[in-house]
Amino acid sequence: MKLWRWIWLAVTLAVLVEGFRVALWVVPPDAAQGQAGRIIYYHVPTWAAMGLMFLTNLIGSLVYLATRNSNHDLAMKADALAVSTAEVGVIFCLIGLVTGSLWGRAVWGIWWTWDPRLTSTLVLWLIYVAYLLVRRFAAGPQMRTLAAVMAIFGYVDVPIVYMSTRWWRTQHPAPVFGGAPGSGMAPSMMPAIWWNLAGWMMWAVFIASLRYVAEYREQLAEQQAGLSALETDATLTAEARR
Amino acid sequence: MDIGESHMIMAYAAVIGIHAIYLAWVVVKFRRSGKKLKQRALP
Repeated sequence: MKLWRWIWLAVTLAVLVEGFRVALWVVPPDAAQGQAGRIIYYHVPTWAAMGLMFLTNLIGSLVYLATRNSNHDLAMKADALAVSTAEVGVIFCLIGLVTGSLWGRAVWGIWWTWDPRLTSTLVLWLIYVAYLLVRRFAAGPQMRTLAAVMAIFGYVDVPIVYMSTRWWRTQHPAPVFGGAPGSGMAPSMMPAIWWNLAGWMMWAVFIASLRYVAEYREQLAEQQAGLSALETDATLTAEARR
Repeated sequence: MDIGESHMIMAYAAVIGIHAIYLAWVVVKFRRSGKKLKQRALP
């Protein structure tokens, strides 16, 4: 692992530890929800990190589609970026669903309800799981193109998830950040949000960068294997003609 | 411990646990891909 990655990891862990300390022991418990209200300090940053990952996946997919016939090396890198960020985004989405369900059980008394925010988020998770399954099990040269198109259509659900609590008022609370006038958090609670937002964003970048390297290496190895097979074929054909 | 506190602890444990499992899987994949690439590069 390169030095900059170790430094990034050390700073990320320091920020996460500070975020954990501030969330648990510095900020006061929520006036209405008590200790359960502290779930927000991990729940909200998780969604922000997921949004960053799926946006990067969209950009990677668009770059792949635009360059796949003109710049093979750039297209390979964009494709590796797309698949690695989709995977990390799925992990963050899963964590958001799990923490939300635990929070719902403590505050609403139920693990799950078919509310527009929850349902659209579950659909989002399923779309990107399907994307990863296509990547894993579909074979042939069109697999990457198909996955990139799927990622572009899949991203349509991201703004729907974001806007769902604005368009439909049901079980999920109205937006705390960027909501109606008067929404927002008490200033004494904001440090826990900022530390954890920074920490989980940095963690998402770190883990996606590791995954990207692994994916790109595998693509290079596959390419080299393909070239070796072609060379062997050419040698055998030449020998057969002699 | 009330339900709010226990569920808050479960949520924090779930976040850390899922990330730890995924990190372990990514590290294995990272190391394997390095070895695979080296093997392919050998003449």
